[in-house]
Amino acid sequence: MNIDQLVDQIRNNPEIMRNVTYWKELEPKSAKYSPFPIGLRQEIQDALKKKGIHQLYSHQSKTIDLVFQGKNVVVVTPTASGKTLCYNLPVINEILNNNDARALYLFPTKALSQDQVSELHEMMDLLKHPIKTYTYDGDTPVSARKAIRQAGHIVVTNPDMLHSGIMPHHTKWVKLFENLKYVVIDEIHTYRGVFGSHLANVLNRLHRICRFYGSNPQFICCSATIANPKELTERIISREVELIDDNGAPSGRKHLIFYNPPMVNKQLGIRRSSVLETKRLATNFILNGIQSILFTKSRLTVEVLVTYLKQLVQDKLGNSKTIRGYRGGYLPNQRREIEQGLRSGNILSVVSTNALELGIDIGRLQVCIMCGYPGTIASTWQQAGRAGRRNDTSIAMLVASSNPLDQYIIQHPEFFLESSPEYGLINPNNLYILMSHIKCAAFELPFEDGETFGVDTLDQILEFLEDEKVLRHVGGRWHWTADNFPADAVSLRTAANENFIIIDVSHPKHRVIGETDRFSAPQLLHDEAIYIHEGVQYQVEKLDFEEKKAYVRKVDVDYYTDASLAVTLKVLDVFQSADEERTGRSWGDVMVTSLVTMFKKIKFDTHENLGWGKVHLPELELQTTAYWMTLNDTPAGIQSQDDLQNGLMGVANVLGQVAPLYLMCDPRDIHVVYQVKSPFTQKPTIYIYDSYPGGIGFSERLYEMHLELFEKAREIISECICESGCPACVGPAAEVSEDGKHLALKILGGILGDTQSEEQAQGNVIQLPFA
Amino acid sequence: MIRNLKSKLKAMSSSSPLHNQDLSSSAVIKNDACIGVDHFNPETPEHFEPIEVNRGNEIGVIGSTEARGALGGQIIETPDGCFVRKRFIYELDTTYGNINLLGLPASDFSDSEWWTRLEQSFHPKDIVFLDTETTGLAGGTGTYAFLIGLGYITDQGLVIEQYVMRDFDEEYPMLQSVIDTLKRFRVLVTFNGKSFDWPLLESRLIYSRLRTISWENAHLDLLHISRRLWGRCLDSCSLMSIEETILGNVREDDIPGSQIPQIYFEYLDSRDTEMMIRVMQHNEWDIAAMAALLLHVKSLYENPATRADAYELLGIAKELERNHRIQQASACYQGCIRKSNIHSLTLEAKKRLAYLTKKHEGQGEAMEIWADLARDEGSLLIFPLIEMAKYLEHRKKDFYEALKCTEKAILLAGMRSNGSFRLRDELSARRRRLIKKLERSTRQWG
Repeated sequence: MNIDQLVDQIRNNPEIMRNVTYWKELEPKSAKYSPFPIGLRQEIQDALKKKGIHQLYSHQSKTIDLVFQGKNVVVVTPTASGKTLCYNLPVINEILNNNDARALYLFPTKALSQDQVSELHEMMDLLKHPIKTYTYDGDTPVSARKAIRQAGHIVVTNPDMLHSGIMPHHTKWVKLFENLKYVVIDEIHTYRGVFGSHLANVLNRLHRICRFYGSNPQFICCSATIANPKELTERIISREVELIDDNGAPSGRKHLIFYNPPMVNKQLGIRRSSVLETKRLATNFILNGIQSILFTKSRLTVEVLVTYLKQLVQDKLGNSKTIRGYRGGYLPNQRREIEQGLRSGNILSVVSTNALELGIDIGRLQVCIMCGYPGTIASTWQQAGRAGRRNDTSIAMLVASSNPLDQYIIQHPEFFLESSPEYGLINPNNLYILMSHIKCAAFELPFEDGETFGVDTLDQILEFLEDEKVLRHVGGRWHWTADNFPADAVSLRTAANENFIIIDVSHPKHRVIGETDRFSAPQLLHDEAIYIHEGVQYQVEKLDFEEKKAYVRKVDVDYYTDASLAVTLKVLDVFQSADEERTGRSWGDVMVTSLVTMFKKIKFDTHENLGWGKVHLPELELQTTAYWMTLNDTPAGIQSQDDLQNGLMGVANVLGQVAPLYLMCDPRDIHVVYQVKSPFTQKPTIYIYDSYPGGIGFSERLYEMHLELFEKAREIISECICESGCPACVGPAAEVSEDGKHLALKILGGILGDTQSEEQAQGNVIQLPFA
Repeated sequence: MIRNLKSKLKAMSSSSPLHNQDLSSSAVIKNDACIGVDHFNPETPEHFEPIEVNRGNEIGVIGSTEARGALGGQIIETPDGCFVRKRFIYELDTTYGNINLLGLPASDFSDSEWWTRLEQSFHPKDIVFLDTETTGLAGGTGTYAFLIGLGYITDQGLVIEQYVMRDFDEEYPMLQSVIDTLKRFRVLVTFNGKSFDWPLLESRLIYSRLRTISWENAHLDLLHISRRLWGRCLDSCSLMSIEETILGNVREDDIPGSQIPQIYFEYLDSRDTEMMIRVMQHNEWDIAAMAALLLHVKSLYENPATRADAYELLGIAKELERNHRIQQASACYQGCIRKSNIHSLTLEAKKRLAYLTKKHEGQGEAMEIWADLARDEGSLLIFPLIEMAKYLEHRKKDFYEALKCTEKAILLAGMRSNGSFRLRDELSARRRRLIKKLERSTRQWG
């Protein structure tokens, strides 16, 4: 059967259709072309023609045109729309014009850089002009480094290497920095949160070094679809940019299908495993020889699915090479082979983590199945974009898991389709991040009096660093006076906190089964805790707090553990605050202290208390930013402190799911706490704080949204089909009391000012947050 | 946006400031006394003369009691600022360890290319020794060379000049002056300068926008030469351990190099010069040690038979072989074998001698050494057996003896737990071939 027949087959299969919550056919789009831009050298045009490219897509042509006018640009295009030409052509053109010109390419991962270099080499071969392109990263042999510094026209690297391997040694890179004409930043949407905040600072350092050497490079950036590509790019590169977002590349007909696995236990809200459902759906395509890509959310699921699918082809065809996994941890050669296999069609199906979401060239496949909601609208479109050929029908399917976020999206396809994709937020002035980079910058070049760096309080920071004996002010300059290499102490991919890894020691060969953030570790991974991972119980044998490792062993017991976590939150500073009719909103700096003192062993089903134990772990302090909402009056229908407590808990649980939806962040990036009577506001208060020291910019955005968050929370609770609370809304009834769901709605009534019935809520038009 | 910044910053940093020095005491006060100030004029090199001859004594007037602390030497003023320069001389008949510096000015480097690996010969007066003391050991553009020591050879002896920046604003004039001095010389001699001192200084020059010097084929790094000579016998090839074991000099009260950055930072804060003066002493010793070391290695390379021990002979022989001085190389290998009482050293010398002999004289001539190696008590070496088998098979046509060697080699290869399959396969192939040849020859004759 071909793909169109398969589409019909699915449509006519009531077994499947029963679980399809949404089906949309996206119409094919024809290409918009433009002639080669004026100023593009004849030999490049000839080379393109040899490749079979006789004209450019409109977005490519427009980008190149703007670059030729000296503008910084950001191009927003879906997967595989020929964005590499948008930057390669101006760069090559400039090098042909002036052989001394240099360009720097930044990619978020090594795999992408290597892909890029091979593509450039292909172009060079056609041009027959020696343009030297080199990857410079941790894998570059020391012997080759000198030649790259001297002679590389195009240096392809990643932000980490620029930060710790190139800029602190800028005197060895004189040729590059003196002649730097273009900086290319691909996949700029991936630089959000901590990573993006770091990158903005890294680029501020780059600007300083370029100024020192008398160059002023132009920036060419590419982004996937997000809500604010221009704003994000401008914040990252500290320059104005022109936005190009009218994609001229053609696309074929595409079916977007949402699939919700059937309910197995309605009371507990448990559905059939999304992995098994994905396997079932993929089988049909594989047996019909349709090339497909399956995205999963964890490395483990990749392996599980690959094992299932391999059995499938082994049985029928006697071999299994046509099904492959792809994830971090595979060797580079293996990855190259898989990419090649996908392009050539030798590989029928690949199961991948989001490693293949970014622009690695794997050609275009016919079917994409996402096993679990990828977490953001932007990622979902990126992954769905992996399927779709120019003249062919394609299918993108989303299979939801039982996870609350998945359930919300699968039941509200209109939210997915109509709302804009998420915002990329960064906070370059996070004090921890800023401070790290001011140190690195001072190491690279002494600051001069009156210089600025991101903030206008630089002087004060420099004075502080002088007090700390890190800098010395003499002759109008601030010199580095420490015997260390500051870049080594700064990792761009994390803020100050690091994750704990969980190691299974049940087998002689230990393996890492998961990780958790520093602030959750004491609660989940204290000694003797029962840690449940993928439905399997493990007992923690030892939590090595210093080394950030928890050693666990498989057990089979009839209880789980519940650690009591004492969280205190203290407001340190209020940045903005407003009083409204029923509520108050604020954001500012807070200090969160958490301490786990004891845990209880609780029997499954009966919830009997089987015993308890003490936990001896240090208190954790986190200084970060928070948004908080205070309730002016006790809402109608709240009779007691207990009611208030359970209601607030329910609302807090829902907010923990809603907020990431708007913030384009991982649910672990934020935490929600409530206080029945806040010592600071003296009123019932709900706080949402960033999980990273210093904050990464969520609080201000939440402050702007304020009531919208609670509207959305109410919508989720009212629409949830559970009776008195489930993990998909306010939390299990056992936690928030039998009345939890209604109490939460009453609290929300107090916040929002009216008491909508559930029926009304369902009929509501969804308010788009940023439309 | 950032409020209470200072308090936040304080809260952020876990360590509180060490102690708050009253910085007013370190305020920059221009030296008014200017006694003995050497008014700097780069145009006239004559100002370097005359030099008083006085071992280890300073020339000129001890620095004034300036707020930046007296380090000795002179304060040199230039239009771009000032810095301190201390200059003194090691007289010719002084010794460093057991090396007499007398030979320095007259030493002949006309036939030294083969061991210096510089593609030029030079005169002792072309040489400048360089050693820097820095604010960090990791490198990178935030590392400064606060003390640059230079040494050069005159008829009177070894002149040492130390350039010191007493604060960061003195870096530029100091570097200018250092470069002007360096430019007068053709050959740079350092210890580990190829990977540390020179790149660091070059980075400082680029930062200061001063023209740098290219030492293409003119940079002799004594560390590399030392590794060739003593890499096998010394645990560490640091200047310190070479000084102690080879030059016979033990420094008294020397400061470890790792403490130097911190000493400088403390000097900047306190202006207490005591420790800084010890850093300058350390730097002085380093330069004198380099001069002594250069003389010593030169005499080793030039008179290996009389001067060098077994380890040194092996290093020298390798260097000679590399330069196609076959006769001499062979003599040094033989010397090494004679003098060595270390088994592994003897073994390597024999092996190298055998291959050298095979290549330049012929397989037959090497046979004796192979046989010697294979006979060696408890020897598990396979390669001499293979070499012997090759010779016996192809030249002597003595298939029987060749087979015996091969069988023994197979036996030894089988004993190796980590033996390579390729080796075993090769040996089996050789055995099969030899057996075939042996059968054929017996048929022929029998």
